[in-house]
Amino acid sequence: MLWMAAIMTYAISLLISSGVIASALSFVICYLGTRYLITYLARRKRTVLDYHKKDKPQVPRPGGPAIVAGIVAGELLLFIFSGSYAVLGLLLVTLISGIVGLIDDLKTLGGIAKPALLLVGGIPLVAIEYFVPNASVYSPHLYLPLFSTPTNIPLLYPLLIIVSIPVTTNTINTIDVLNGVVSGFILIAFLPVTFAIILRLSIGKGDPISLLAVLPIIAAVGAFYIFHRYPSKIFPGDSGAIALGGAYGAVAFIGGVEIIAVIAILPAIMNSFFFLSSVKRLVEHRQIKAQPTILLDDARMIASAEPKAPITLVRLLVASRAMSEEQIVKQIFKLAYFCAFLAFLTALMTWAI
Amino acid sequence: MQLMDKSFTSLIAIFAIAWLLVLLGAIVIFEFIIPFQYCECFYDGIIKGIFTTFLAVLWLLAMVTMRNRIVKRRILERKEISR
Repeated sequence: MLWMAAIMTYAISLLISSGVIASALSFVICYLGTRYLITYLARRKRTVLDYHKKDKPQVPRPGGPAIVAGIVAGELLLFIFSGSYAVLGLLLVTLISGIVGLIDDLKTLGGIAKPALLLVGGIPLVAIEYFVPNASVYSPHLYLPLFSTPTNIPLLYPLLIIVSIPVTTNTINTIDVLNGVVSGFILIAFLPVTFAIILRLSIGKGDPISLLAVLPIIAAVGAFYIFHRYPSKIFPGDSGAIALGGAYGAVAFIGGVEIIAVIAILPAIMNSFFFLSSVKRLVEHRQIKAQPTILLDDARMIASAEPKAPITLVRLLVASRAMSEEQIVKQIFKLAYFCAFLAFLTALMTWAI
Repeated sequence: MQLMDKSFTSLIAIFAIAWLLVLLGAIVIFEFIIPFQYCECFYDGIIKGIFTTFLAVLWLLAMVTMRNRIVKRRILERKEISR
């Protein structure tokens, strides 16, 4: 009996160590990759105008490949250590989302082509679950607040995954509006998601590997945020934002914390929804003629009074008063923290009551 | 400063209401409306899907109403831009 306990302890410590090593690898690869991309992209003149600054600097773009490389390397190492198919699914979703985003960065996909291509993103999770025996990628149970028994939706759940990945990726992509927003926002959103996974594990639900799988993503995003925060030295581009959205969506499903994940990104969901409902079609931001905000001479922004201008989160934030980019970023983070708090409450209502 | 706070607090209110509606909607769909929720049959999924869509539409309408209120009061009807 004693030797069995020793083996178990050794296996658990090995698994935790692999999570820590995978996170360190993700951080280092993303950090060094981003540094390399900043000089490489600037040398190749692959830069875009940082429109919201007074001196209008050119900023390298996209930094997404460094984010994807960091996450994929970390998750691959974790997969080798643990053999968990959930980790493999997360890795593939991130990789596919990143590739679609990179195509968009290089060739500019249309407003319909991009979500259509991203439908492929959710397929690895469903395919592995169906074709690999005992894969345990996800559980088709939806945990709801205040009810201890989960709702079983075996037929809807795979469909939910296929539909949700393009929705999450596009939603996260639409919040990539100002310096540091998308990376900072995802870091904040991962706080309640990680907490919810821990809470689930504490009552004996779920797979501990889902918690370890979150760590490389947080590490990679943290490394990228160092360069992306205001004032940005690099932009993630669609490849970065879409890959982050894919990874976030995949974590929500393999961790079984779908509702918490939705609530944590409410500002991004509302931003995306406000935009779509005001322009009334699937369209790329760059195709919109009437801009939602007006840039003043001192580089502050104010909401456009043009009735046909799309309604966005930033336009609502600067509805009554001009604000600098830095101030708006802080306001968005405050909204993100508020929604993270609501997600924390939901997690407690789901697994602690 | 006062005006900025109003815009910000309006958004906070929208998110709080959106959160409550998401929770309420999820609970109503999966716990009360569907009496045979643990039945793993095809129709179970279809009925849940229909109710989810219905409540999602109601949620979206509520959000649009609140959003339009902010846009109308704070942007379109504003007398002057506070710079």
